[in-house]
Amino acid sequence: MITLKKVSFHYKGSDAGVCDIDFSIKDGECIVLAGPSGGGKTTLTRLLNGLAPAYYPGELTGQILFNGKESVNSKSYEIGREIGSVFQDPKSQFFSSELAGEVAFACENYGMHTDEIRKRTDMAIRRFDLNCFRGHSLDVLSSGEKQRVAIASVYALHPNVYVCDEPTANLDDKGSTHLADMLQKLKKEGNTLIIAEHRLAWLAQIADRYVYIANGRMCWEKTAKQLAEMSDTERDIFGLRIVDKIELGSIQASVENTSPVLSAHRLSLTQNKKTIFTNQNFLLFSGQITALTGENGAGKTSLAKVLTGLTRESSGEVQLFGKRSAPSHRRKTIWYGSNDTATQFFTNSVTEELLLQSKKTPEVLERARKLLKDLGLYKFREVHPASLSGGQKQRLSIACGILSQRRILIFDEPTSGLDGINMEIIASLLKDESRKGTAILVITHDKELIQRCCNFVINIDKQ
Amino acid sequence: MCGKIAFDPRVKLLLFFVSCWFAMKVTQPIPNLCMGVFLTILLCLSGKGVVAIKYFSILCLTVFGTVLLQGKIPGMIGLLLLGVMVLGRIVIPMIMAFTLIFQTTSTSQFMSALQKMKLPVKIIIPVIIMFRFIPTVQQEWIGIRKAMAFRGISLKAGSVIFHPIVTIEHILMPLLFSSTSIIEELAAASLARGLDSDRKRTCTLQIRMRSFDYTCLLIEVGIIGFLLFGNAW
Repeated sequence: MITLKKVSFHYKGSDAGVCDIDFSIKDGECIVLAGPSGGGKTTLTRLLNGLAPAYYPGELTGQILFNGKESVNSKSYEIGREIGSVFQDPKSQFFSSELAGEVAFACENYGMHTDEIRKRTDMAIRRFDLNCFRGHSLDVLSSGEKQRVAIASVYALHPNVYVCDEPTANLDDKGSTHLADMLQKLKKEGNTLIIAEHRLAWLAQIADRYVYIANGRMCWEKTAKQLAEMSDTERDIFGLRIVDKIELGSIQASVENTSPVLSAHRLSLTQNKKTIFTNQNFLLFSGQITALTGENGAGKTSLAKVLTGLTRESSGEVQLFGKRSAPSHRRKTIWYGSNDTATQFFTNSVTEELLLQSKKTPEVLERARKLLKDLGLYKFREVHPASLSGGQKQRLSIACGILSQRRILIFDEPTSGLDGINMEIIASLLKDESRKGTAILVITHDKELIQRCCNFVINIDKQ
Repeated sequence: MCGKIAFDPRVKLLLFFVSCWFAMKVTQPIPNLCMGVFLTILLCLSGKGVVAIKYFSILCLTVFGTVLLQGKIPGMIGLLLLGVMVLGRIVIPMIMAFTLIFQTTSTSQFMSALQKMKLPVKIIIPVIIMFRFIPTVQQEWIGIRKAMAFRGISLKAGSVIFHPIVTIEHILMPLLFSSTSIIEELAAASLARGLDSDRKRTCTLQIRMRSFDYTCLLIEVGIIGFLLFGNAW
């Protein structure tokens, strides 16, 4: 049983934090912390697993009681024994390069006996069917597989409570389904689950209660049944992403007799003797938004890299505006926005970032200003790009693409990790841009985004 | 993992220091080539054959280049060329030894070795996080290069020479920010998983010195001997 009584926390040197949080979690319950990005979900998970204030300094008032004991008085490793944590990005939570070592890591830290560790490691690996990853380097696994390993490595320690901070942020549908199965198993074993998440679809079978947090405050609490009864408009107000799983209907496309701006003919790519994709044929039209979907590891990003000229195709060809185009030409004609916003900003302020490539003529400045206003980034124009939130970074990245004035824009997972409100902003941004005649290709597994703005869907299968 | 030998990380660590020292001190071509052969053999045995042969070829080129070119090409160009050759001869063995530690050792082996060396946990933790961090930074760097290509930031000699500060800023900015956030998350994850526990850490993976480790160690001691008393021979 975890009880939060009038808990407020503010990070040192910042206004961010949570205020007056009051709720309790029964043993064996599954609670979902929902709400917009930057609303305080992550802070709350950090308070629960003791990382705030132990690692993230700040001021804490109120009481957090874990089985009647105040958790502030415990050391972080003591809390870690009882409360297991799974983080958003699997790449920054691994310590070992192979499966058994990773699963055993926490047990080793707590000084368990070698035989006991072996037993627990084997059990965790078997429990979650991870035997097939033994002997592989963890670096080659897909994000979904990595996240499963991360949960197994927490499981080996046998905590009673699992705190997950947006575990599906980097996962496709299949990955999320696998994750849901794992969490279901954990719940059946009587564990308490606390999951911060804004993609709610995959949690429908597991969650008992939803707590909505925005602007650092708890707004409401609903049972799974109450949430299912919420109307669509209500859901839209809170920016909650759809609860039931959605099936993609056929997407209506109307293409007048225009010639394609980009056409791919029998594109294939082989790297290190491994076939990444073969025989891809498709067309992109001016004024249309096309979605490129497929499982994690199916080669979507590789295909984008070939289209943009970062990688040379093994066979086949890409035509731009009806003419065969070499990779170096494509690099200059097509824009590519990668999904990793952490590595694509180079300057000190949002304005400079936007104008990095452009000549600073009054006309361009005016366009940039208007774009920033449309995107709600104008008041952040002097701010360092790294201090923006995830949604703001994605918007800035898309803005850079739009201002480049290239006729073909490719975006890789522009809505991964974003809440409903941000997803909608991005969908309308893309729609506006396509109306001006730009051809847009979005790599995504976000079905809501596809539903809201895409005209075509291209699906590529895993080889 | 057939055909690969996992050398004791302690032996590799000592080899790294020995080869740095060796590269700085020894200038004669024959000993340098011998050192190169030794490193190449170890890399091949550890399953890094292709890389090893690549490095060894460059090393041969620089060593022979230094011998052949010395005093042959006059003027600035000759001097510059010779400088590059000497730099290569010094740096390549270091890179080879570095590769041997960081690319053929798993974190568990490394951690086990550090614990056997009786180092305090306060030193082991940062070293392990660094060890884990290097491959991640390599991945980030690939991402940054990709983004640079689209933002029109080139790494060509021209921009590096004429706008060095701007270029460095454009490289460091994303690298620093992504690295700090990764380090922060890694450290948070390590705490949540009890790395700061006051109990004595267990190691499921026990490393021990085997015959090939001793052979390797013997050669290393021989090299140290050569470095210390080599001039007397």
